Amino acid sequence: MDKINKVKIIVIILIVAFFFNEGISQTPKSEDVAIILKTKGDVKVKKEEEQKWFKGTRGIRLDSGDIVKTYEKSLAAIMFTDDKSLLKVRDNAALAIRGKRLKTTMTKRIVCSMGNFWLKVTQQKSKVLVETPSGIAAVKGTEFYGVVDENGNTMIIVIEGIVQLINKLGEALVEAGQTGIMSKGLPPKVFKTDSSQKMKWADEDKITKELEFEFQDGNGNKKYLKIIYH
Amino acid sequence: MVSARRLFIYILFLLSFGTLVTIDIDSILANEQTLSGIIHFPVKNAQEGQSIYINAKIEDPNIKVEYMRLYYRPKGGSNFQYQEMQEQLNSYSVEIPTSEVKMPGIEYFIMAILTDHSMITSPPSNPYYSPYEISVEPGKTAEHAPIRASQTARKSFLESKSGVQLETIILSPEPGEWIPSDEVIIAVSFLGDVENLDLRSIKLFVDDQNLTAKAEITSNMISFVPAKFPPGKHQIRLELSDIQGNRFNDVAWQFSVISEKQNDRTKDKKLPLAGNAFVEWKSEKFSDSTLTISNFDASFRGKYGMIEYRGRAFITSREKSQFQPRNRFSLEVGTSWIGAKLGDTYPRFNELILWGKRVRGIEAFLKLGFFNLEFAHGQTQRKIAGIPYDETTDPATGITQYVNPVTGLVESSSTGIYKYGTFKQTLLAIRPSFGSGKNFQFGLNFVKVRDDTSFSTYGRRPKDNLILGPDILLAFDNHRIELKASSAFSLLADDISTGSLSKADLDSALGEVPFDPSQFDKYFILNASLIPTDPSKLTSLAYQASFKFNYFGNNINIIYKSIGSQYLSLANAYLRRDLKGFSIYDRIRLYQNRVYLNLGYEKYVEGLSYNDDENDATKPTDYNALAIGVSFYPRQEYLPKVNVNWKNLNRNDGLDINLNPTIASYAINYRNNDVSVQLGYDVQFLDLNHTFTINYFMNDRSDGFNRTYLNLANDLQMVSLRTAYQIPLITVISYATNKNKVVGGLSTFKYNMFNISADYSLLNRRLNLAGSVNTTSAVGSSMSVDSLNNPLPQPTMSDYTDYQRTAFNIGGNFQINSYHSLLLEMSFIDFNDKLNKAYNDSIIRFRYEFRY
Repeated sequence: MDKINKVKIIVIILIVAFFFNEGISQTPKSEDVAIILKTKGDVKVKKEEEQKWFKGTRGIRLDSGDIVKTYEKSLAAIMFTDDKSLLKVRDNAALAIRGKRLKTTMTKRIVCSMGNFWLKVTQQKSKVLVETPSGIAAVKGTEFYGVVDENGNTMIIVIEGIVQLINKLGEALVEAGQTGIMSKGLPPKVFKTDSSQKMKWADEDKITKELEFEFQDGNGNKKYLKIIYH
Repeated sequence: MVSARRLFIYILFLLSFGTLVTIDIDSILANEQTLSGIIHFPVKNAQEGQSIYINAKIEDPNIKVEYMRLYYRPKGGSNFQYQEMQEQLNSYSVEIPTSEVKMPGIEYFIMAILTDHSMITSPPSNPYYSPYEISVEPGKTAEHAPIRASQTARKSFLESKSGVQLETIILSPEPGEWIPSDEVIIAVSFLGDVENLDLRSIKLFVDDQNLTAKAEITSNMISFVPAKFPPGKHQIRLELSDIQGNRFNDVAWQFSVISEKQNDRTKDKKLPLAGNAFVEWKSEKFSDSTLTISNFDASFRGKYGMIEYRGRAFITSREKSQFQPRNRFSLEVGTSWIGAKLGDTYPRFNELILWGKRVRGIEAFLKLGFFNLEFAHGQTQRKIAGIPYDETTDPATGITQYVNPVTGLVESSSTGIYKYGTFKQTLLAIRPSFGSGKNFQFGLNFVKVRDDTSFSTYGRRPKDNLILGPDILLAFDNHRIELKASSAFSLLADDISTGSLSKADLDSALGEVPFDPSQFDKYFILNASLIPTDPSKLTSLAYQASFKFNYFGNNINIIYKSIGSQYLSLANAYLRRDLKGFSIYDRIRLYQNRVYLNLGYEKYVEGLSYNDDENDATKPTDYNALAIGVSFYPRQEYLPKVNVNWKNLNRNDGLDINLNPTIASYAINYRNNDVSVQLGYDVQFLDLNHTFTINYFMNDRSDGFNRTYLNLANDLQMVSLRTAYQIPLITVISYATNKNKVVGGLSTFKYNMFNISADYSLLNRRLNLAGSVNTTSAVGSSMSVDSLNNPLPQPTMSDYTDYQRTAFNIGGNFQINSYHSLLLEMSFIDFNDKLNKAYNDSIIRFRYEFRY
């Protein structure tokens, strides 16, 4: 092949690589994946493309790749915008929110490097993945607590639904009333949740709210349906 | 049968004080029925989950009513349940509760018991088989809900005229939520064709204040974080359009902000007690009479661990010792498996035997699953003293005379009783059963009702009633398949005033019997008034079986019943007797529940006992009816809602008046056709949301022997327009016209009605003002007839009524805060009949409510 053809080929490759790269870098980042509903204490947020941390307050929108960090005695409540799944992050935690918008739904990933969190996934059309240093939890229509320690070990306490734990060494299903543990170098384990492990901190900051409906039965007696929730 | 003399004079009013709030006129008034003495405009349409207001009055104000009841059942159901109607000066009203208003509809009739113990109904003839029918359409979705609705779906599917589909999700606050001021954040996300959403068209209103400029808007969502929100209820409304300028339905909902003080209170998770109380005062001035009523109602409920409790006290100034109790008291405590209720209770053990009758006493239950026990005991009727005539002796003849104690006039009487009283009546009911009822249950019912004759009340024929019977239930797949059967056998001593028979009396009647009836007095009084006299003929046996099947879009209900001519349960006294037959009903859901097809067929024979009465002039009557209805509720905004119903019923007792003209006055042979069409259309015009409704109803009854005086025809047309404005104002304009022919056209009644109402909210929707004007004009004419209801040789048509009625209604409801509210309503009515009398009526109602 003569020199000119070689140069042409290189140029073509470079051009293709350029556009390919541009295409990747210009893949639009999903915006407004979640929104912070409430914060308590010291909560910081960092945008993926920025280096600076800023104060996290209610109303701040999170795009895919944004990181939320909580400090001592702090809490952040975050809602995903496609299905109202709710994530609460307790003190001394750090996690990143990732999501890809589709037409009527969103694939969601929470990358947690450390800390305690609570997640309630509602009526989802797609899976939510929670990534920790020791594995992945695949969540579908469920409520659970997660604890990731400084060594990357992960404990998942399921309140409702099923969570699938996956790492390189195996898989396990954790059901309501069970606890799953993932550690580096070990396959996931599941056992019945001990009473000492049960958590309720997600309710501590809640206001007891109520929705009340009044109706009458066939005998004309007034009846009330009160839904007390947090 | 209808005679020209019984034709009506006055027409019931469309709007009384109870309808001061904004109403959908298409939910009331179809045609007036006054043939029986009860004046009532049947309700034709309703919406699922909303109560239905029923109003009626007695044609002749001089008639004294003991009580008036509304009987209703779901369309396709078997037995009716009832509610007492509340009395105003010259009208009665009641609401069918929201929990009963379900698709496809409701059947109902009204019955009044007069002080002379006679009964009148509306419809006037055969109300059990030809009740009024209300078509119930699905409840409104979020897109159609009035802006003032406190609950809106969190998720809405919107579609513009150009087909752009958008899904909106209310992230925060939740509709109806209570939230602290420092936690308020308003956020709604958008999914679907967001690329066709015009971001510049998005407007955010909070309490009618445009806060769009302060909100953050992207194609994915809109959010707004306020600095502070005042405590109380708040309204949010979001407007959006597509890029072609076509507007979507607004997204609107309410929430409440609680103050810090309330916030601290609600942080205490235990709420041992909650409830509400109201005081109410009503005054109606009708012509020269004034009626003032005061009511007090308080209720509470709570939970402590597993134990739930609730109570209620309703005290009214209408409580009088000469009527049955109108106050109501109840206290209920229990868990899911054991409980008791004291006070006024309405036990429902068995449809044939005991079904919702008020008992003042105790009701208790024990539910263990494999074995259960239900128990009720108490008073169903209080003792009310009757009034005898005063007796004097005519000095001239020496004959005893009866003097009316009210008027002082001498009257004739065969009994000497001016007004009969009632005996104190007690009920004892026990139902042990086996099986939880989830898939199987077998129960045995025992009910005993007896009048207490130990005190004289000038009552008539005190009774003793014993009813026994089993019932069984088999159910599968959450009762989507259900098979029920029950039977009951009754014994009634129709007059226990003479006590039980002695052994000697019984022996002489039946021969030697091994027991003395008087020894079993406390269980049942056996005497010559026993019904049936020969229980072995099973004339007091009733049985019923039903099958329900709810699959594949079908909701099938098949009922067979046979109620003996002498079956009577005083605990369910208005159960129709002396009939046998079946009904089949199916509601078919099609096209994702957008189309409903309702099919029904009934075939009964009533008056079975006439077969044995050896009277050629009376025969059982065959009744059959076929009903077909189609309803269409489209998801698309630009298509109308349509409801079409047709019902044909025939009644024929087989008697032929051509063979025996003497029976012409009572032989039954007629056919009845009902057709109704309703169209409802939601449309946006001039940036406003309108609901346009058209109703047409036709009823035609024709006699099989061409006895034209028994023919009826009725035509009703009605249109209404409901408009929701950009400001918190809703108006309803409606017009109705009706033509009614009775006695084969020898008498006619025509009326026209126009109504306009408005509903406006102020002060962050804490104050709602409502007003309406209604005018009705009517002309009634009748032709002169002979005693056989035939036109005279030279008939004349004359008007018997020609009136104009105008009503002004105004009122308001003020929510002081989340705990206290006030209501004030006033009505002023001017009635002017050119041929009869004119009068003015005014009504005022005030109410204060406290919720905690």
